[in-house]
Amino acid sequence: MMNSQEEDSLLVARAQSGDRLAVERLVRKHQRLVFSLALKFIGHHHDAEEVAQDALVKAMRSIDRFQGESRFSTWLYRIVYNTAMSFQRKNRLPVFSIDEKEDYTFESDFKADSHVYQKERSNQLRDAIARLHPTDALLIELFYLGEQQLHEIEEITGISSNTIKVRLFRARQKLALIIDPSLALR
Amino acid sequence: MMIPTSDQQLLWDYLDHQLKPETRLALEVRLAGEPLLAEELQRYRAVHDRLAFDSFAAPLPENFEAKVLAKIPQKLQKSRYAAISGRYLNVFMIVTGILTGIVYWLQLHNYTPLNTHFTAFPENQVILLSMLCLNGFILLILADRFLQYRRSTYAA
Repeated sequence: MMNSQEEDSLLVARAQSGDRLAVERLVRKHQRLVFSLALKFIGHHHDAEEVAQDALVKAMRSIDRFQGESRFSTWLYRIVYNTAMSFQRKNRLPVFSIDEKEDYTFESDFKADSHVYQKERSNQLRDAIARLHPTDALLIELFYLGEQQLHEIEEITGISSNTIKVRLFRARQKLALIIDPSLALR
Repeated sequence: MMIPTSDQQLLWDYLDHQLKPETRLALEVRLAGEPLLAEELQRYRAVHDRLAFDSFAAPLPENFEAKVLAKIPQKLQKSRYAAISGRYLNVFMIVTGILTGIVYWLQLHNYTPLNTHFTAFPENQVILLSMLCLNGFILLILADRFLQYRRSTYAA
């Protein structure tokens, strides 16, 4: 069975030869994280949607220029980053405010395998991450959801690997204090 | 009681599989004998596992995929240079272009060594003409690639 990176390589090669279905599969596969990253960069839901759409369209239109020097996901997230920065500059947007987070309430007797339980766990985690500094939240997302290595995050954000490591450390220390242990993996 | 920051970082590196084998082994020995350190590792592992296995990406807005796909042209431009690294092709073409240009320029200005050689064999004018054509062709490809680059939206 192919891993995610091999699947990307195959889809990219097909997309580069003009296969529309491959383009659609790439969009489908990466859209959620692209939107989530855009939301971290921009902060505002509506603007993040515009940035995410713009980034995906740019990436697919210029896919023939992807030469495999990095992972496809790293290349794509770099485009999201560039698009978001460009959007912020153009609209003089303030950085993401942690005040926008929603409040969630939790019940302690969810079953580990129930859909509701999983949803609440995800909500709680999102809520905890939203309390971090926006840059730290972004790094957590790239590191865990994007499965990017430190040097790849450096390539995407321009932040040095050492700084990323320190920020990740602080962010995870903070998360360890925030996250409700009653919803830990069982 | 808190453990030192250096140990905290060590534990995260352990969970990220970033430690060298000898450091990892040394830490595992310590974990076996230091309950406080082991307890802290369990706390970090709970966070680490949740970050690694829980999906916390923001939910997509409605019809997001359809909106994106509608903006992507049905027929994308095929990569004409996908098989060869574009960077190396550019360098090759620039170098070849410069060399053929120099040779042609020298011949045009009657540079003696070349001129002597070529005038001794008038049929070699064909070679010069070929060089000129090659140079023109290379310039056309470079111009085309430059225009493609300008058209590309990645410049943002």
